[in-house]
Amino acid sequence: MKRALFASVAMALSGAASAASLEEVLTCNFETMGGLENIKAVESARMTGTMSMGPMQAPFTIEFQKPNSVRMEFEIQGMTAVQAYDGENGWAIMPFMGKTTPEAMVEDELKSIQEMAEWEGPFVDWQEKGHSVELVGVEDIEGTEAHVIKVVRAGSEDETTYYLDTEYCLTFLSKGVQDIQGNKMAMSQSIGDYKEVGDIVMAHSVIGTIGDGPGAMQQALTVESVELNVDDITEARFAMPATEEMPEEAN
Amino acid sequence: MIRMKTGLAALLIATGAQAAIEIDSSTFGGLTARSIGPAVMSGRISAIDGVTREDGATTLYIGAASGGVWKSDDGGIVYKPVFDGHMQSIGAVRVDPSNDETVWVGTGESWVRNTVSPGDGVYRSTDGGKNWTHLGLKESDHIAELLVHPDDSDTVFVCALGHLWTSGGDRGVFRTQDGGATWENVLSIDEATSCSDLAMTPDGSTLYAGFWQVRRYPDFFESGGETSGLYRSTDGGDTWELLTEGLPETEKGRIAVTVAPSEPSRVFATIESENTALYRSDDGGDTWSEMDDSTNVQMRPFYFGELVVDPSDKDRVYKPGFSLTVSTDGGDTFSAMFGAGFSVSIHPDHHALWVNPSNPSQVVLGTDGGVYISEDKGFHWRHVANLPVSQFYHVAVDSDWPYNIYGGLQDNGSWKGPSQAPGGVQNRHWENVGFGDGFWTFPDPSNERYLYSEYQGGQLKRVDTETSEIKRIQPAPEPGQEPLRFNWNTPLHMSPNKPGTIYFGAQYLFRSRDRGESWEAISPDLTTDDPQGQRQAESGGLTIDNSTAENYTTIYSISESPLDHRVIWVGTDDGNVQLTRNGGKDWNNVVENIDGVPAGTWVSRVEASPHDKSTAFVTFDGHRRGDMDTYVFMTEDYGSTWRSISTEEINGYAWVIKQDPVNADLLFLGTEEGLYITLDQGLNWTRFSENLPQVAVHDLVVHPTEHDLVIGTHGRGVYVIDDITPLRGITQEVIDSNVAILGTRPAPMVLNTQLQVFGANDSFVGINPPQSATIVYYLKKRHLFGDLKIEIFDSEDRLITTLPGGKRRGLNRVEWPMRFKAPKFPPATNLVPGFMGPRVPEGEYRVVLTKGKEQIESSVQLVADPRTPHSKKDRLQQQQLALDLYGMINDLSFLSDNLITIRDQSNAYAEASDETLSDALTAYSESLESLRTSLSSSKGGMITGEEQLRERLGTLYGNVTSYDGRPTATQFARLETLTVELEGAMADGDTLLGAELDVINAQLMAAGFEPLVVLDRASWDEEAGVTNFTVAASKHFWRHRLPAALQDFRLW
Repeated sequence: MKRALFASVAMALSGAASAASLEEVLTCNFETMGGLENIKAVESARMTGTMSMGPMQAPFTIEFQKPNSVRMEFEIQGMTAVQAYDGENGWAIMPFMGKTTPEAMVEDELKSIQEMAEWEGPFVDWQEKGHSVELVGVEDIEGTEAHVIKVVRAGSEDETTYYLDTEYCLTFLSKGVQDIQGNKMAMSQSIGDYKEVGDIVMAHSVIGTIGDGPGAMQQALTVESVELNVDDITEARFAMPATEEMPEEAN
Repeated sequence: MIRMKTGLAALLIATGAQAAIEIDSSTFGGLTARSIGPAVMSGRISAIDGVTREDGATTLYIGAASGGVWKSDDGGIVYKPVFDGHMQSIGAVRVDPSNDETVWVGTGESWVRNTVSPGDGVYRSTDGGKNWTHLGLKESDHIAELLVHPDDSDTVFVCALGHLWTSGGDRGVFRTQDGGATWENVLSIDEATSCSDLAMTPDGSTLYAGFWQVRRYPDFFESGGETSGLYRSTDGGDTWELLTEGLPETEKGRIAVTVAPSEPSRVFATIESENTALYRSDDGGDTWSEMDDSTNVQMRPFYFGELVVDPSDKDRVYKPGFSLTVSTDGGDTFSAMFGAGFSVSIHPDHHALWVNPSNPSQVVLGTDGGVYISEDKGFHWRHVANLPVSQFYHVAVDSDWPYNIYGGLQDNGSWKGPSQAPGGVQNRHWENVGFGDGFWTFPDPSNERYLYSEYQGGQLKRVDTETSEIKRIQPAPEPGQEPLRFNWNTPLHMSPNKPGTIYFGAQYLFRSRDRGESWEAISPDLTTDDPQGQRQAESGGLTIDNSTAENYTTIYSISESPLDHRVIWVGTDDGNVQLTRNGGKDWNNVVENIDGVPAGTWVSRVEASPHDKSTAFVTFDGHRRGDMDTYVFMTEDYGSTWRSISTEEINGYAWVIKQDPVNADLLFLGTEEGLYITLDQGLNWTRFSENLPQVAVHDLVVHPTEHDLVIGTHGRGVYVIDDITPLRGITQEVIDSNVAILGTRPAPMVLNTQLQVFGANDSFVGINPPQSATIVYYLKKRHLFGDLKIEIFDSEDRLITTLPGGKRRGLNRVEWPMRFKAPKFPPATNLVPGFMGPRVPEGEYRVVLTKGKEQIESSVQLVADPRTPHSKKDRLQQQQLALDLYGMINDLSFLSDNLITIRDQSNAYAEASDETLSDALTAYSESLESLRTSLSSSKGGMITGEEQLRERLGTLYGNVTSYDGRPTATQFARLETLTVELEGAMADGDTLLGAELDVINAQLMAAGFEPLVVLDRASWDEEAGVTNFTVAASKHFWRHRLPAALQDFRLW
């Protein structure tokens, strides 16, 4: 990480921020985050932490497995909700209203979880993935100079804008839209608390805002621990269970 | 226009002693303003356009007179402001007919009343209003119309008034043929004549332009002259001809013109003249006939210059005016004022109208009171109740909790509304307390049941808010005295020293010591008394318009020193700054001592310092003479010497200055272009733009006990910056530090409320301040690496909670809901009302902020809701009962989790054991599960009504925590019942997890297996987030009773 920081500081000091190319910015980003090789070496991960929404808090766990599987659990009043995607199918268990069987996700939800499943972010191998990634310049965002990168993911028409600070090239803000019943709702994420985990550097805080104006809802995820390359994360964690296989605690 | 700035160097010399604090627009970071509307009365709308999209839905763009541009994508249900970073005065909005995503805005309203705000040219968005590019015509000031060629998106015509208060500027018809990169002034008359309206045939071939000789002065309005006329171009604007055949030959004033879309040879025009009337041409403008000249058509031509023909009916003509009058016979006759619009209770004064070409029954109307939508061609109307474009002149606050905000608005009377309300500040919370144009409105400091409000030209009233009775209390001239001259916006001032003493300004300063029952003039004429400035009776030009709007040579601002009632400052609209130091016996005009402001410049505000009676501030506003500079001065010696405290950072002419009552270096300045803040008495200013648009700020109040800054905007209603205590703590040392915690006011634990109000999206809801304690800290740079978290500890140093921190540069505001974590519930199939933890006790809490490797500390103070009807003892009883239940729920969960873990261990061994042991383990497991399901709901389905101990405890917990006073006797009794139940469950648990477990373990060990292991309470507590309380030793080996631990919170 230290080597990476020197590289990015040097880039900032050379006054090259506004003239940087997309490749330079992404290289700088990968370097700060531990190097592309180390990022790609992560096959699976488990993050646990606390989700806060106003006065409510809930413990959560997020598990990833390459190439694009994800499972998120959170617990409220002893009941555990599950949202998962195995690379093909998305499903959820929302036990709070007495329903303890899994339900397949609708398209809006599927789109969100597919984005989440891209665990290393849209910049790694973006050409191979078929994303459109464009560096549009440098902007002052809330007093911080930022590289502005617009991303349209493969198969999507929606644009997400990423803001990377010009000193370390770390993403600190993203803005996009979420599909809700065929409409687009503004969504942003403030990203931070980067820490070293093994050989890589990961954000440990995401404060998400859905909607804009007075009705916006905010939700904060704070990661408390991370395990990388976890043995017990297997494909079975992500596949939609048959009803009879439901864990007994849930009922 | 004159643009002058006081030299920065001179300023620095003059203020050498003051330590500078370097701030910029990011310093305030997450300290945002919140909008509380109101939208109930909305405000003046100056322009409307719309388009029916391919999907069939209608997009509307609404241009407000001084409240920016609002967009609705759903046919007028929800509106979003899309122009907040620019001048908020809007003259024209047009969607490109060839591209729905391209929108043009001409800034600067063209309904040029005395209080109109200027714009700064033309903007275009190519992404439906998300981003805007300024495209020139900066000196156009007011734009009456903007038209995009139907077939060529790059060809656009602008009809510009130019400078209103001086000659010149960008006047006439401008054309671009390269999308706004360059402009050509294709029709201009002279330095005094403006374009007042522009129309185009549907094919874009022929243009009609109304030209208007118009000029405003501080004391006079002149509409009309020899150079006014109607012009036509038949070659796309290259050449123009004056049209005269059938039109008035005498002097003309404002002209509106429009083409019937269904028959382009038919053109209508209203022409102000000696006999203002509607004219029609049926031959493309060659010849004209005079049509209707009824009252509605003739009324206030300068203010009502809009004319619209139904897109599908060449005979249906809409003429927005005092009311909306309609002709169905091609302009021969119009519906009468009392027969049509006037009988419908919609707001009068109509300026903009859009008829949906795809559905001409749908009509959208812009009035002085917002937008109305009709689906039956204007017969019935729905008011848009979520456009907070209200135009406040002044704001005031009272001493209630939550406090109320008072204010008067342009053409919308005077209002009183709460600073916060259950469910948010909504339209229904605002109460009308005065009619007409509203200005200064104050609660009576001697008795807040009463308030003072006024309407234009000094019509002062005292209102009983309980009975709604109004008593007229304005001063009158003494016998033989000249008439009193009251400004349009007559200053009313409450003595800060003597409740019941009030001041009111004509040319003399009046004082009443009996709440307006009687008055004494305590000054001579404090104005210049220049008779040249007293022409209001002739004001208007061709159409006399003596509405008091041009009353001049009057007192405009009054301020009694909060430290000495004998020290009174007065500012006049003709440039005098008068001071008395002996309660009005002697007056001294100290304006001569102020260098750097042109003589006679309107004094927009005098403000006595709350810190020092020799100190005062004065702002001047020269815009009514074309001088847009910012003038702000400060004296510290009763006006003998002054220094300018305006800097290059400030834009817009000044409306108001306020000195913070706590920190004398902290000043707030409202200008035509927003709110500015300095932390060093004016050495460095920066614009505050966190959720506050670039809107004219006409008034400011720092609430004396709540420490909020209340912002009265002329165009976007009222904003509040909650708790400015952190601003008071920003020093250069703070600015230089990587991270610093700033002080906040004590946080009230707002009473719980539970209302069932189902709303919809079409009504405005102003957000409340956070019902939380706030922790505010400053970050020199955006935080990227390592933790940024806030930990809260109680007086016993127990960690109550950990909060994620904001990471942006500048101030960050983190909210702590003042609660313990929610209890841990056992798994079940039903939610119970226990999502939140119990409230923590009142008192001081230690705050530890961790930023990477740095840690800094501070504290927050929690206090009871000032309204609380509950005694401290009652509140503590509630908290204790809530905590008892909290502990019981956690105990139950621990029992449940233990039953589950032993059950699962048993089942695992059962599979691997011989039959005898397997049967024993299975039976044991079943008894564990049987106990567990008897304690928590386990039925599937949505509304099962199943209630076990978990649900009974959760319901009682929810009921107790939702009320802040003493719980009911029934609830106390219920606790006893449930305690017995829980004890029974615990005893069952003791048996199963004690003696019976020992037996099972003995069998297991005999068979060579490891024994079953119960959960460790300390580890379980830690995982459940309840480890922060000292857990007393328990007689049960497998559990600790949490309520015992929580006895520590017993404060009595």
